[in-house]
Formats: sequence, C-alpha cells, structure tokens
Amino acid sequence: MESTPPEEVYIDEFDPKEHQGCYIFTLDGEEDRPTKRRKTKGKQRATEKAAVEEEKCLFPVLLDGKETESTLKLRYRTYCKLWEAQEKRTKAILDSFNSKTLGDVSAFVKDAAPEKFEGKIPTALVLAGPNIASHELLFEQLAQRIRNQDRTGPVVVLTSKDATSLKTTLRKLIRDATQQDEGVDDEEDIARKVGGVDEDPQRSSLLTRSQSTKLLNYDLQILQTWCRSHAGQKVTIAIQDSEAFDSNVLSDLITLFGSYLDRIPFVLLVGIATSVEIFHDKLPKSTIRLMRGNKFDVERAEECLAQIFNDSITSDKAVLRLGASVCDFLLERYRDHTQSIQTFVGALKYAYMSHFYANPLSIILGFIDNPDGLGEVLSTEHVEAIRNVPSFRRYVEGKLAAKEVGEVRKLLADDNYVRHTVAEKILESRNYGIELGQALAFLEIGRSCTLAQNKTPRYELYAKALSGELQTGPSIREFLMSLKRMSSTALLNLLENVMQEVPIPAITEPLKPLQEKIKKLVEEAAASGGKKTLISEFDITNNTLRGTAVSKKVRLGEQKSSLTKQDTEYSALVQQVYAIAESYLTVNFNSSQHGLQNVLLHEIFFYDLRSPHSAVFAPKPRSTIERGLSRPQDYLDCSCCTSGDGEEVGIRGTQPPASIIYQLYLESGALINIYDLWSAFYSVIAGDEEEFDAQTAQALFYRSLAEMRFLGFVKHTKKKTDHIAKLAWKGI
Amino acid sequence: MKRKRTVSASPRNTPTKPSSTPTAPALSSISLNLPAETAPSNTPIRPLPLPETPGKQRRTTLLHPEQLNGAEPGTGTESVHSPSPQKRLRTAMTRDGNGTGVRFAESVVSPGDAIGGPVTNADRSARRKSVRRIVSKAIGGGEDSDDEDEEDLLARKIFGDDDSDDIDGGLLADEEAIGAQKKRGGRNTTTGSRKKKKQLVEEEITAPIDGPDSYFFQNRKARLVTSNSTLASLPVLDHSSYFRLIREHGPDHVEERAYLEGLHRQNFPQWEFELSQGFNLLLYGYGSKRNLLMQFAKRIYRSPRSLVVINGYVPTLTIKDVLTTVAKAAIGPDHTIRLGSNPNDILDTILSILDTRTAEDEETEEEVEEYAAIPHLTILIHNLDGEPLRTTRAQVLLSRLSSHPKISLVASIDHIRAPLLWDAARVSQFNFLWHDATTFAPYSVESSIDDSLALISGTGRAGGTKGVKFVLASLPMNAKSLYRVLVSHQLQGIEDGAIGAAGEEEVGVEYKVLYQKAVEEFICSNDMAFRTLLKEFQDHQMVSLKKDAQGTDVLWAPFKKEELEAILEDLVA
Repeated sequence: MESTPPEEVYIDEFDPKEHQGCYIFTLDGEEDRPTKRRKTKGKQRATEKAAVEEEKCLFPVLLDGKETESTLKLRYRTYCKLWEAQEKRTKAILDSFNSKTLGDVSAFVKDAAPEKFEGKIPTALVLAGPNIASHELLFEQLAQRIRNQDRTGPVVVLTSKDATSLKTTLRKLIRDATQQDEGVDDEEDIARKVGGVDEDPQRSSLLTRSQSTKLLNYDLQILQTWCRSHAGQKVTIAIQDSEAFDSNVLSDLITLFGSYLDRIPFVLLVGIATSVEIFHDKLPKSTIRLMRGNKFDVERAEECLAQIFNDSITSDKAVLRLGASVCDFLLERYRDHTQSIQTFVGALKYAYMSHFYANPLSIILGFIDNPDGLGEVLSTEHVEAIRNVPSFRRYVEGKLAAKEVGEVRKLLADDNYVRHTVAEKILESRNYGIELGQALAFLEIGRSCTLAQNKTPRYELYAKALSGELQTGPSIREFLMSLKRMSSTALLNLLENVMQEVPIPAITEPLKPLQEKIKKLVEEAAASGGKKTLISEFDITNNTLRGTAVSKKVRLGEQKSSLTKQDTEYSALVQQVYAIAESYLTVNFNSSQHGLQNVLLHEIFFYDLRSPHSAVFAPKPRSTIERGLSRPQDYLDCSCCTSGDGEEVGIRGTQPPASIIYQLYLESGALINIYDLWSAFYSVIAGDEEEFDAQTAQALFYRSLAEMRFLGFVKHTKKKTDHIAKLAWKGI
Repeated sequence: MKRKRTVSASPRNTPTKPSSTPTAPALSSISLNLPAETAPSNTPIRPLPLPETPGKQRRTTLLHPEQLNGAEPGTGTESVHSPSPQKRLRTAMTRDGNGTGVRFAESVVSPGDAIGGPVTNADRSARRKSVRRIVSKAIGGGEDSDDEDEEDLLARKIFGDDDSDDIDGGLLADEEAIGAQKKRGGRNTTTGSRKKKKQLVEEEITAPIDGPDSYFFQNRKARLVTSNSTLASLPVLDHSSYFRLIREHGPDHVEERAYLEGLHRQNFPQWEFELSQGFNLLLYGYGSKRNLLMQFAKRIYRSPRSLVVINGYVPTLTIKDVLTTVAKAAIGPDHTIRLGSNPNDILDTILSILDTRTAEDEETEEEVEEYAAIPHLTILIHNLDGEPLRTTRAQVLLSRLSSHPKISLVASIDHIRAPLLWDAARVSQFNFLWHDATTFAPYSVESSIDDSLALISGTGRAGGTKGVKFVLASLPMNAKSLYRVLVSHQLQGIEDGAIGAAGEEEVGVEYKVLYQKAVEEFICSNDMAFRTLLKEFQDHQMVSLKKDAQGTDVLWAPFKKEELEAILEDLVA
C-alpha cells in the first residue's frame, strides 16, 4: 500500500486550469494540439488498434498476482462472450416487446389522413406507462420505424424541454422536419443545392421563391413549402411527455396544426404517462375537438421484466445466475424505485462485471459447454482457491460423512483429481440452475392456470426458491390444492401449456399418458352423456352455498353420488397428476436435499453479492457526507481523534475543522449565531493550549463555514444580523 | 492500536461495514463469493465491489447503540466547554448511528401516556410527552407503582441519555447510580433520582442531534432564541492574510488523508473497467475530489483530445462553453462545421457527428474530411452539481451527452441534495455507478473564503440575480415596470454619482420620487397599491429601504451595477 508523499497530494501551487471553466485535458508537457495528425494517421491508427487490442483486458491480476496472463485473458474473454450473448437476447426481447406497439402505431400513421378523420388531426394517444425513463427509447424507436421503415415522412419528437415557448417549439419542429429529409433522398438534395438538373420546373420555381422570400424560421410556411415539394409525405409530430408540456403551448400548437392541416398533412402522436382523462383535462375542449384518433396501450412493463428475467436467470441459456439476495435487491429496487427495465438490465450487467472482475474461478464458466481443456487451464493457485470455496468444503465434508476417506484425501491432496472432479461436476452444477428454472416455470404455469387471480410471476418465486422459502411457503400448497379440484377442461388446458412451455422429460413423460387418458375420458363422456367437462370429486367448493356442517356433508354425499363413472375415473387420474406434480415440486424445491448449498461450486454459477450493487446503485450520498463529518475517525482512523479504547469521542480540537463545525452545527437550533459558533469553534480548536493563534483559527473557521455552505448545510439569513440558517438535520 | 494500517496489510480481508449502515448481509456474502480470499497470504484480489468506503473498513470495532447510550460519567470530563450557540451539552450524547428507527419505534409505544392537559398539535412529539411525563412525576411526587415506573423508564428512554454537563460534579455520583439502575432495569426510584429528574427538566437535559426528533427539538420557539452577539468584535481578515494563514497552518491529518486517497486510487482499475463497460461514474462523499479525479484523468488519458475537463464550480461557466469545448475535442480544433448557436443545436451536431463517424470509420480512411472525430471521448466534470450546471437545461444536455455510447462521463458531486437534480429519465440516461470517495481534502479550489463572507453579509446571494429573474417572471406587468423604473433610476444615479464615489448602496431612489414616477407611468394609482408592490420585492430581498441622513426614505435594489444592468436588460427584453 504505497502512500503518496504528502507534498504531492497537497500541491499548493496555483494552477490556472483550476479556474478555467472547461478545457481539453493534456498531460503535462504535451502540446495542446495534436501533432501532424494527418500524415501519421494511418500509422497511428494501426498502433492505436494494436493498443486497443492490448489494453482491452482491464481485469486485474488475481490470485495474489499469480494468475497467469492466459487465464486473465481467458477470464476477460469469457466475460465478453457470456455477456454479449446475454445482452443480445435481452435486446431481442426488448425490441420485440415494443414491436407490437410500434407496429400498431406505424400502421396508424401510414393509414392516417385528415380525410379519414373528418378533417381533424389524426392523433395516436400512446399510453406509455409511468416509467418516463423508457419513453425516450420508445419514441426513438417509433421515430426510427416511421422514418426508415415506413418512410411516410419526417418525424419530429418534441419533448417538454424543447417546448419552452411556441416559437422555439415551431423552430425546432420545422428544422427537424425539413432536415431529416436529406437523409432520405440525398441525390435530390445535392441536385438542389448545386442547382444543376432541373427536372421539375415547378418545384425549382417554388424553391427559388422560398429562398428569395425570407421567412422567419418559425413560420410554418416553410414546412408548407417543403410539403409541396415532397408530395405524399406526412409530417409526424410526436409529443413525448405530454404531461410536462405547458398546456398553453400545447394547445396553441395543436390549434396551429389544425389550421394548417389542409396544407400540411400532420399526424400527431401523444405520449401519455398517466391517463387519457388527465390529458383531456389539460387541454381546452376546443383543442380536443380538433383531434381524432386512437389510443394505443404499450405492453405492460411487468411482462417485459418477467421475460427478461426468465431469459437471463431462469432459462437454460443463462450461465451466470443471480443469487437470492441480489435478486431481491434488484426486484425491490425495480418495484419501489425505478420501474425501469434499463436499470434492471444495467444492474444485471454489473453483476456479470463484478463476478468476472474479481473471481478468478469465473473462468470455469467458459467451459460450461465443453469441459475438455478445463483441467489444463486451472493452475495450482486455482485449485487452491477451489479448495477454499465453502461449497467445496461442504462437498468434502459430505464425502467424509459418507466415509469415503480415500476420496477426501485425493480431493485435498491431489490437484489433478480436483481438476478432474470439477470438470465432471460443473455440468451438474449448471443443471441445478436449469432444473430450478424449469420447476419454477412449471409452478408458474400451474399457478396461472389454477389461481388466475393471484398470479405470482416467476421472478417473485425465484428468490424464494433459492433461499428455500418456497418449500415451506404457501405457493406450492395452494397450487397443489387447487390442482386436485380442477375440472377436466382446465386440467387439459394446464397440461397442454406445460407440455408446450416446459418440455422436460421429468415432467412430460409421466404426464403424457395421463393427458391422453383424460382426453379419452372426456371424449367418452361427451359421446355418452353429452357432458363436456368432468368434475373432480375433490371439487366441493364450486357450489357450496349452504353453510352448516350437516348440510355440507349431505351435499358431499349428494355430489359424490352424482358423479358419473367417468368422473370417478377422472378423479383417479387427477390424483395421479397431483402425485406427479407434488413429487416433482418437492424434489426440486426441497432445500435440505436439493438446496443451493449442496451444489458444488454454486458460488461460481450464482452471483450473490448484494453490497456492491447497493453501493453503486443505491448509494446514500448525504448520509455519507454527514457521517464523514460527524465521525471523521471512521474514515481517518487517526490516533489523535480516537480515544484509546475506541469509545465515542465527541468533538476534539484535533479533528478536521469542518468536522468540528459540523458537530457544533448539529447541536444548534435552526438559527445559528455566527459569532457564537466562532467562539465555540475557537474554544474547541484551541483546546488546552492557550496560545493557539486566533487569526489562524479564524481563517480555518471561515474556510469551514464556506465548505458548509458549499455542501448545502447552511444559508445566509436576514432574520437576524450575523446569523445563518440551518438547512439540514442529520439522519432525516 | 487503532492504526489498522500496519495491522492489516490488506484491508480487503476485513470487509466490515460499520454496523450503523444496515447492510449486514454484505459481511457474510463477500467472503462467500470470494473463494480466493481465504487463499494463502494476503492476496490482493478484490471483489469489484469494494465495500463502500475503504476507510470505513478500518474501524472494526463498532459500538452498539445501547453501549453508546449508556451513561458513562467518565466521558463527560473530556468535553471542551465553550459558550456555544446553545448551552453546550455533553458530548457523549445519544449518538446512535442511525438510531432514528429505534427512536421511532419507541415513540410509537408511548402515545398512551399523555399526562396532564389536553394534547395539542404541538405536543405530538413523543419526546415532549416524555418530558412532560418526567415533569409531572417530579412535581407530583409520583407514586411508585410498578407500571408507572415502567412508563417512566420508557419516557426517559425516549428522552435519551439524561446527562447534562451543567450538572456539577457532585451529581455525577447520582448519575452513575441512575445509569447503573437503568442498566439493571431496576425499578426503585430513589428520591435522589427524582431530584435529579427535576433538575434535568430545568436544565436543557439532552438534545437529540440527529433524526427527526432533532428537527422538532431544534425548531422549538425557545430554541430559536440566540444570543445577540455580532461579528463586529472579530477582527477583519483580508484575503491575503487569510491565504497566508491557511498556508502556514498546514493541513491536518496529512498521512491519513494520503492513505485514504491511496485506497481510492486502488480502485482506479475498477473504475476504468466500469467506464469501459459503458457506465458513467459519480463520486460523492466529503472532501474535494478534484485531485483524485485529476489523477484518474491521467490514468485514463490515452490520446490527445480524448478527455475534456469541466470545472463545474467555476461560476462563470456556461453550458454553451461546455458544449463548444466538447465539440472542439470531438471534431478537432480547426473544424469548419457550424455548430449552431443554441446549446441544443450544438449538442445535436456533436451527437450526429459522433454517430456518423462510426459508419465511416469502418468504410474508408478518407482523408477528405477536414476534421476527424475521435473514437471515444471522456468528460470529466468536477462538481456536476456546481452552480452554473444546476439548471434543468444544463442537466438535460449533459445527460443526453453522456448517454451517447462514445462518450463517458466521470463526475463528482458535493452538495447534499445534489441527487435531486435528476428525475427518473435523467438518472437512467446518466447511467451512473456511484462511488464513495470521501477524501477529507479541503475544498480549496471549489469554495472560497468569499463564500463564507457572502454567507455572513448576504451580498452574494446564491444564484446572484438568477433568483430575481425568477421572481420577476412570476410577477404581473405592473410590478415588473415598477422594478424597471427603480433599477433604471438607480443605474442612472450610479452613473451620475460615479465621481462622487458614493457606495453603490447609497445611490437609491427616494420613496416619494419613485412613487411619483410610478403614478406617472400608470403603474399604480395610490400609495396602498404602491406599498403592496414594494412589499413583494422586499420579501424577496430585491429592494432595501433605509432612512438617509435627512430622514427621507430611500429605496434601492441591493445589487452591483453589472447585476443591475443585467436585470434591466432582462426586464426590457
């Protein structure tokens, strides 16, 4: 831990750049200007590329510096490979997710014409949900789609930030609308610019006119002229955040569109985060009347999250999975704070990053598809690290308990044997995750078919399953109970779904024949009695209106007797289905036998560090500052500010001045007399020694006070002379 | 003994977090994931995720709140005494990390024991109730029934640690007894303790210094009374002697800070990796992070023009400067592209250039272009929350800039409320990874002594004339015109009186003259209306009123000439 000599840290020289607003950074002694860039460009590029290749791997050398270059690179490559694959899948989901909305809206735009809308502005109300962070993406995609795929004309995305006044809004609108075209038909533009080929006299005359008469740049006439030269093009205006718009500007804008509609074919897209009613209330009726259109619901974010989660964590394609605590953290953050899929994906990426950055064993994940060669890659240090993994220890202890002493000896002493074992076992470890995912999928589907009203998505179940709560919790029991009561239609539906969604032999094989049998039974029943649905004998809830025990019993008897032969047979089959489901679920969620803890090297397959995520994504900047100031010894750990026995010390003269001020500040009321603060400060800082220079103390006092203001703790007040107002209370 | 530096050569091995931060699971999980951590010798392997602050790790033994709360008469002696704004209280007061939760829980328990008098709104606080409780007990003599006593204990618990420095030494023994009693949970209330309770009430027994209670406590009427001393008795400190003194004094905790910084520097590779993965970095924590960031800049600096430094604390900075500098870096110093005049245009130009480059870079190595966009640009912003960057507009532009894949942002914040600058959309665009970078370095560049002086005299109001603009924007035409008249008069007065060298404050407008003018301009028709208009300005400290030597009322806008001109320009425009 080399510490820099203090004089380097506290340079007291005046650096002009410190007070320059902004500048391009150069190293000391380097010229500001790049030297002869053009001549050496090719060469430079080559070297740059090489440099990029070289520097690409930013991972530190682990294992006490003994990690070899090749494994380091391998680790980095594995990270890149795995994350790229994951990112690609995630992106595909995200893209596909919006695609329905995009398709609908773009069809609307294509189709829209004022004539079809009784001469009103064709308007699409896009209900995009409360996550404003995703709106930008959505509208960008919309604009891209309409611009590049549909080519119906220019798209202008207006945000409330652009629309401070009508003038600026129009200016931006016109600029964006008329410029975009350059990308679409380049040749024409060039031709126009050069003034060369004159294929269309009318247009050129038009152009010259528009060029000769100077129009103000916010005049819609410009757009009108442009539209005349680009017949058949619609001008799509997308209002991204309608709620944040000034309602006057918005209504003026719409009124203007309305009046120009006969000359400029406008199509309006309005993004709404709240509800249509609120949008209605925002605008005057006269403006509302100018619009006609449809509303489009963007698919719900939860479904998107569920899909991404399923893909990245429970699917069999996933390699690195999240552990219970990280998972909880991410979901909680999603639910309670961000509601943003992007943030979730970012956090997922961060999990990958930290895993591969700091865990030398993560290279194992690279061999998941093909364990050959893994043995050669693992060095002695790696093996040693493996031996230190808790799950390995548990594994060895398990062996010991089973009295396989020879095995244990080999595991502890023979490096090659460990390599061999690991290579053998990683598939098993991976399968654990896959099986868990499948079991969860089964449970989710089962639950969604039986308990339609309280649907729990897989991501909610996942963390519970990992931590072993699922086994004891009500989720499984509820499902199994209702399974027993299912009618044949519902059960067939369930089985059908399961066959499709969870194609795993463990569950499909025993269920397949049962499904066939039930189908047959139903057909038989339909043929004989015309009854289409068979009822399970366990289903007694559907018509128990009478409450007393006796009457229930009576009814039970009645019901039983009213069951047909097929019903009884069906009940038997249901019982079988129930047994299969139960055994399957218990096997998979039994934490004592099938828990994560028992999986060898689960530390490598499941990333479960919560603290890095909470530190970088959910920081507490304010309490960090408050803590630093109120307990400087936590950070500085200096002998002077800490009493010998590590007890609470309170204010001391040796503490940093700002810290002293802050602690005094904490004790004071809402108004602080500066002079009193000063005298308190002085007595603290001077301490016992009488001859502490008052002037120095004063300078320190001023500086610390300035810092307090800089940090936002105090402000000037006029309530009383020489007083400052307190702005923050610690811990609130 | 506390010098952990020598003891644990690798602080990573003790990923402790102070118990006050409620992230206990971290402890176990770190060691769980780090197989190699237990591996031989002090391996420098670190999890990417360092526990928030390296510095914190060194404090390994942490006290439990109850320990802290326990009355320790011994600690009372070390505290230094002084005529602080309030009666200085014992320093070892209830300082339980984040004991707010606990207190809350306790105060929830006690709503039943409202004794004496109807409960008014003002009496809501549990703390107050407990005070009242103690008072009533002390006064009424108190029956020593068991449950009464329990409640009493509870009340006192809520009240916190009942020790006051103003109790003379003789009572210390008593205190000790009570402390012990409390610990034992004993329920025999002695007369001594009752006596003390009485005294506790009379003295300002204890003050909560954090948590919501402190807010209510410190905002009580009685608390707001402060002494009338002024700074007049303090000698004036001019700039040069200020700087000389600061320099001569030398920094404190040099080694510790250097060590702290060293710890942060060890994170550089991690930060660099995070940047390379498309995240942006945001550093927070007490202490100037300038130096640290500049060192980081040196590390990530690759080629000319790949790094732009922005000093957000420089008051004259404008967002346009930022964008033009970025453009210069992105495109090259001698480009001929028209950037556009408004910041939005500039940003669009920059982004589109960066976008198009990607395509062309691949295709050909054309030399036709008179500019060459760089492949990647890093922007380093000291104080993203600096005054000039605090506007929504600036933040929007910066967030859009930083969300471009070819641009990375490294920034620092210092203001405790800086995160309020961003809404959900901004946050997701910034895509920040936060890192605690508490350095304890003085903010010598970022804040100046002038700030402190401004705090005292109030002349340099935060935001300068910005606030005035906002106020004016929200006022009716009449008021604006009145202010225009006042400002233009005052400016004229300054021009005329420049030779007279009177202070700017002296150049005001007489009340009657201004009124006359206002009537002439149809701003108002009677004195009443005039006063109402003026009141608004006075409330916002935009107008000062003073009687001059002759006893006539003089009004003026308390701004410098340049500021006045700026205001006038805005008003007329």
